[in-house]
Amino acid sequence: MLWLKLAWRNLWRNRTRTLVLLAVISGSLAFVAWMLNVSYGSYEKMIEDAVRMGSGHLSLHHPDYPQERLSELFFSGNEAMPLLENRAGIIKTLPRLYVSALARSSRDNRAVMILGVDFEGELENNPLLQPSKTVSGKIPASDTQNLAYIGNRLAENLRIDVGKKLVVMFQDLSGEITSKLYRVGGIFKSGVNQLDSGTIFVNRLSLATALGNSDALHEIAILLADREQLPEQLAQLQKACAGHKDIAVFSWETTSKQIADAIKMDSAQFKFMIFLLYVLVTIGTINLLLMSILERTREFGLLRAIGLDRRRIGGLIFCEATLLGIIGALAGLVLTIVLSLYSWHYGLDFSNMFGEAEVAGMLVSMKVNSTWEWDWMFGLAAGMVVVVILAAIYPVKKALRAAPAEAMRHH
Amino acid sequence: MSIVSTTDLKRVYESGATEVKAVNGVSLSIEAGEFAVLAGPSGSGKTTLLNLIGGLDRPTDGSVHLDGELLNDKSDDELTRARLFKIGFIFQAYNLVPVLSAYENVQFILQIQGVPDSKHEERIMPLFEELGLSGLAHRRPGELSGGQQQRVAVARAIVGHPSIILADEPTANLDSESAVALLNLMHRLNLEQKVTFLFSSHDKKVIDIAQRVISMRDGKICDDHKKTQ
Repeated sequence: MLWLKLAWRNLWRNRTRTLVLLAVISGSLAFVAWMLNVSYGSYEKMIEDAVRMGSGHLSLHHPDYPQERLSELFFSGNEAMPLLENRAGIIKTLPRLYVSALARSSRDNRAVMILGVDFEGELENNPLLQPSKTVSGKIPASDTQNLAYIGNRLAENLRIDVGKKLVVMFQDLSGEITSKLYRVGGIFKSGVNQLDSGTIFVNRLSLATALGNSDALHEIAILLADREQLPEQLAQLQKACAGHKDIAVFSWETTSKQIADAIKMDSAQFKFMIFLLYVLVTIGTINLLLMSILERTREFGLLRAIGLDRRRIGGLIFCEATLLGIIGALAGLVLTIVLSLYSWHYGLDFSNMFGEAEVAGMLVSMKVNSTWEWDWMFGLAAGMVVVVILAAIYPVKKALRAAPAEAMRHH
Repeated sequence: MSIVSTTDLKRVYESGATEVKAVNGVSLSIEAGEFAVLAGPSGSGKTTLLNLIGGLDRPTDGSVHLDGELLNDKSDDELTRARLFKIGFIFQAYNLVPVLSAYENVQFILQIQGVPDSKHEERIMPLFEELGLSGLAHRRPGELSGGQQQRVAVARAIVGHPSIILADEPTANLDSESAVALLNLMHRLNLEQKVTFLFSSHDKKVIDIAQRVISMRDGKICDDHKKTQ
């Protein structure tokens, strides 16, 4: 007990220095842990936006479609849909068609990507097909066959507006050039140039019929209730698709590889930042501990003179460092929780500064709600304690180098 | 019985090409119960000799025996252990741990000696009473006068029941009155409890009260005489 008392009181000999050191430790920890919570929140958001706007948590495709993206690589909806029926954990299935086409108005023409969707199903899930994104007209109803929902930049380029005619030309599944007339039902603005200037949403059945096969699908996006179930659901669906040569199941990490890679890269950069921060904290701690220990050289000489061996003096300094690390880590955790509580509850809205972001052609919201990465938070805090203890090694060696008589002559 | 004995003890410091013989061939024996002083002017080698006897420094040549054990061959840890159990130190600058109270400074020795916590109070409080420190037990060194701090240092030196107390210029920082009081106190401990003291000092008051005066000059003993009681 006396040891702990001594270590604790030694810690507060120079109150200002100790407070500065604690501020460095807790501030660094809180900054990194909070940023980590915010980053993981943004990854979650990015993944959720990507899977809802893109190919879902899981998706069914022709086995070669994710690589080739050719219209003729389709599969049968009638064959695929029964594979997904009555499966626990699946909350939504979104059948889609993707067709590269030339869009023409009476004034101009542009290359576009036509997405054949079921509007009703997409409305509940696709962040792009939301009334808030509609700048003119409205999102077509599911039963309207000939209305198109187009990006605002495309509307400007084609110089058309709601109610005007639009012709799309594309290759049908037999390889023949075909065309289809739509009227503009609504115009959206996502803020992502690629989407706003080159995307048209139409009724899936009308597009499939124009392609020459009303049963054709390029994708069924599957949304899961819980992303944690993904590996299990993937394995089950792979098993279910085994007898169907034109149908294969993919995870979002394969179909939205660029998003997955972007997250991996960001995460790696973040871990490198954590490493750098630990190095800086270590250097700062060594510096402050060294100052605190060197000015006590005479006292360590005295302690050795009266019978305290090197091991025990080293233990005393490590005890001081451990207390410092624990207090700093606890303060850092409290600060992290306070900051994260705010960003978890209210979210951080960067859209005023950056608008909405485009990652790999996907629209990603800039309003981020942080998550609670408890494992990381406690891991970082424990790491900080270890770093502070390790930072004491050099000062301890330095303090114990001198013989007692020599140390006691030190001023 | 001899508590400390040195034979042809030498300590040479090298400073560049210059050699300083701080202790130069000292042979000396201190018996149990003695109240002796190493006297001499500054630079005569008193403190160096005390450090060698106390195992705080290692000799260049010669030998030191403490309680019959040769100190020369001992490792750092063994020397530390010898200091803990066999020697009590009193320093000129008191050298108390500033963040511990008077009581805790003394308790510290018992703690590292491994004396059970339950025995601490019964060992320390009578000592404090005897040294006039009872009301000051919970004060920190910064809240005590020089004389009071040195009395705490005496308590710390004797609480572990060492074989000998080595006191380096213990009165040098004290006013005359405090110095006399401290010397009387140590003399009483010597007479009543048979505690062995070896001082280094050039203070006349210390020399007057000592039973044996060992005079040093240039690292050598130039006179060694016991006073008749």
